[in-house]
Amino acid sequence: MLCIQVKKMLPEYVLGEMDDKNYGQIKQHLDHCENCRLAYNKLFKVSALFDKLPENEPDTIVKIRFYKMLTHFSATALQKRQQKFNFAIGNLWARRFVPQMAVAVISLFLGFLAGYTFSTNGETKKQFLVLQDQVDQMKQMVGISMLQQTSASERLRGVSYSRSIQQPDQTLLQTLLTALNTDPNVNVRLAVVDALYSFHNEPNIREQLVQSLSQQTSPLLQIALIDLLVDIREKKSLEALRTLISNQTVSDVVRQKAQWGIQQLL
Amino acid sequence: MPQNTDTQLMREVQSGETEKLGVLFEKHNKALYNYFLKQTGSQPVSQDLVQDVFYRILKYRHTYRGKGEFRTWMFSIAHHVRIDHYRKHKHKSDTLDIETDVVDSSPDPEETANQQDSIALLHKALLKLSVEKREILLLKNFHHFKYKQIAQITKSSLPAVKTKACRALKELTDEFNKLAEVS
Repeated sequence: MLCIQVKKMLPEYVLGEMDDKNYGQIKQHLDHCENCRLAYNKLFKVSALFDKLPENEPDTIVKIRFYKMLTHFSATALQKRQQKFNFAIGNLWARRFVPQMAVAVISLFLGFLAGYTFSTNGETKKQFLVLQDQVDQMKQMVGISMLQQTSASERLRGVSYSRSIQQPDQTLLQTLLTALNTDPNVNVRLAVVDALYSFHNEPNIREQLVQSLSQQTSPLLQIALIDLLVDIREKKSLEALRTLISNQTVSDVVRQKAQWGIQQLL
Repeated sequence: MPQNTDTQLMREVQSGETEKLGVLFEKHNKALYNYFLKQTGSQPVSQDLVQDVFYRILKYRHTYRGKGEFRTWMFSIAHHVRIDHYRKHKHKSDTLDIETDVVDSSPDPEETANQQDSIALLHKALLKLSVEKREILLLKNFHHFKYKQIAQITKSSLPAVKTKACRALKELTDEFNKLAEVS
């Protein structure tokens, strides 16, 4: 191989990935040609310097901003899925049950008319209240049943359904709390955090939320729970927040969030 | 296999477990940050661009087919983020404050002053190259991608990448030696 050919191919030789034949020929040439070896050394010195370039550490703000974006993205995606689901259910009902609904509305109207016409004392009102109570119980049972499905999207629907119940009973609340601590799907657990926000004034819920913070391992859940506890001004969570900060295995972002939570609560 | 893990994690992100992106972020954010920092020379800009890459990964997660390496796909997004950034800030693209931003402010005490000088010269010489050549050399020599992967990242042909990388190294060496003579 001539020097002019070798010099032309030297950058490729230095950068690597050259075919074995050319590589062997150039290597052999360099062993004997001092002039070409000089040209090679110059290229090699610069190329090898890349390995000495410092790897700079990004600032912590990069992490904080990323996890904030991820939490926001997950929450928005969940909301969109729920909206889609509600829309689809609405359409389904409209199409499938128009005749039944018409019959139901007419029956209801006739029922009211009959009740108004024939009621003579408070007995009818009592019966209505009992009926209302039974409907509420049935709604709660539907919610619990949906929360125990194997499909994550079914359970998400269950959480969404549960939020619509005005006065949840202890069984429903306990099912939601169990889902918060044990559901394998993080989206379901995030949805439960939102749902429990509506019920945080119910007995024991605040304590259970504090306990759950110590049990969660997902940074998304930990951050969502810290936000919730700060929002409801739960000062009993201070100890759990301090434990999080001192736990070295917990993500830096979560520990910073816990620090923020303590500042907000004090 | 680490790549299989990345692909698996990305598959899980695609199927709705978006929190798994956190694992990919922890693993790759430093490499991406350095990719941008060594091209833009600005820490705040590089931080913004890293954020933009992960936002686009989430937004376009369904476009990942899982056939190639996740890292190559991620850098192809970073490449586009870089192009968009230069398009928006064209006048600033080559006026970088490399001295203050890219050179490590806390060098290894064992490193000699001579080597530090050489690294500073390399930064200056890199700035003399076109943005495309600088990027290809960094992908090849700093991030250790193969030509084939660089072609995928930059959406170029394999021979074009190879030719550009060789010309870039030649040009960089000439600039480096010129600067060394002056100093």
